[in-house]
Amino acid sequence: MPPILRIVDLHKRFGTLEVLRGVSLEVDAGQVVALIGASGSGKTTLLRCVNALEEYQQGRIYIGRELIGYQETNGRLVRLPESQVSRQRAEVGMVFQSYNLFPHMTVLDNVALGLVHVQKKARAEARQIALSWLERVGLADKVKAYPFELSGGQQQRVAIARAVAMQPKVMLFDEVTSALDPELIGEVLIVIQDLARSGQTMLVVSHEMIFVREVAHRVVFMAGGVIVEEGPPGETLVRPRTERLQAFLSRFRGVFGPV
Amino acid sequence: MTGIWHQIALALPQLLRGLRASLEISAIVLVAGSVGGFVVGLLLLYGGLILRLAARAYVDTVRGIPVLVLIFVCYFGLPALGLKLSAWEAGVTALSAFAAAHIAEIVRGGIDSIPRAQTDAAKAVGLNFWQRLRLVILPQATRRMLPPWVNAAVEIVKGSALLSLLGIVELLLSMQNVVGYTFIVLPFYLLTACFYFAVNFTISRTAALLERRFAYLKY
Repeated sequence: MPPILRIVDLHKRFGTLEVLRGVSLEVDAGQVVALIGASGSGKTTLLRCVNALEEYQQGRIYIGRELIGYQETNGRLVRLPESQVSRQRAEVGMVFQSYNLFPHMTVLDNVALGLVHVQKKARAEARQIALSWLERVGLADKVKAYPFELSGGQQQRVAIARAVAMQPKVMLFDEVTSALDPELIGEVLIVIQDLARSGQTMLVVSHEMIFVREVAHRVVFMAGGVIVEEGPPGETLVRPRTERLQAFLSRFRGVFGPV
Repeated sequence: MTGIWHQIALALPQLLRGLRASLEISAIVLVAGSVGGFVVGLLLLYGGLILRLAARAYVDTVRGIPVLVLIFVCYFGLPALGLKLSAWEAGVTALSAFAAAHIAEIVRGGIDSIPRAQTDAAKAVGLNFWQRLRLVILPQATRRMLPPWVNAAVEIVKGSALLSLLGIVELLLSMQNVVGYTFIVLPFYLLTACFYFAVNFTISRTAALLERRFAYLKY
């Protein structure tokens, strides 16, 4: 079986600035891969490329066997038409640092939107599915609320429900707890952990090292647009081989016991 | 004194016909200008290079010209290009073109003011371009377009008075006709001003109600 997500030698430039300089990564079904690294190392850009929110200049991204965002003609990448890219994006769920709920819709409509308009489910069925996901993230009593009535942690849980309700092949989490007050981080991480246990494939950018260590099957450390080191969290986080990862982890001293 | 009230009563039907003509012109111009402005506004944002430049040239040109000049160009200038319009057609066309240019900027600004993150989130859900626009961006942008759009509507109503210069008997010209044979000046000017005020006040009050209706759209 091919990996669910396969990134091959990905290069991404913003003007002259090369943000990704040849990243290759594979994620198997049910795997949780955590991306760590300093800001500016390319983690977020990598996630955005996987969801075709960014164009890239070189390399390939496959979900299953399907090339994402482009078609290959005579070895050259040609951007797919917008409608096809949209269809591909529906296979990937993404949760953002700033929640990005739709402020003019109730919580239930936020979650049901894609089910109705992308998956073309009947409204009643979509609401049923949305409601069951909102129950799962502990917000069944907030279905009629508008996003501005919720705390950051609650908004982020709605955003997670909105993404997973589409039953994506891969979930992308982009520093989803970075904008939250410390006391709200736990409720969001618990939801993600629950998803991980249920076998959801995911790629998680996070600075919550305890969470990464507990949830991730594999940790990938990025710096300067390349993958510097990767491995199981129990090894990579505890006994980093490279100096750069050692330096990065030293900022989290105390989290991993004696270093 | 009774003389004046009598004259006003006699002239009122004529004035009301003028008011009706003004309202008709304004309504047509507002609809045409809004539809045109919406399309041009979308071109400003999402058109390919050529369409975008064309839209930008149109908006900047029309906005840079006094409305009156635009009206005269349509009435006196277009026949030279073989396009002969009646005074009414020329006037409505000129006002609509003017309104469209202004509303295009309102549409562009309104859509542009919605955070890029909303588009990202809508893309991540899998919505295509038109779905994103219709379901996510426009419902939020409309709220922001409303106040300047009401401004434009009020300007259009006032601008319709310029068409009196082409001999179109709208409110202002009706009044001038009445003044011409009654020789009563100030009362009719005041009455006409009240009519314009009543129309525009109604528009802005309605808009205020609509704005309150959208009040849940907080950030």
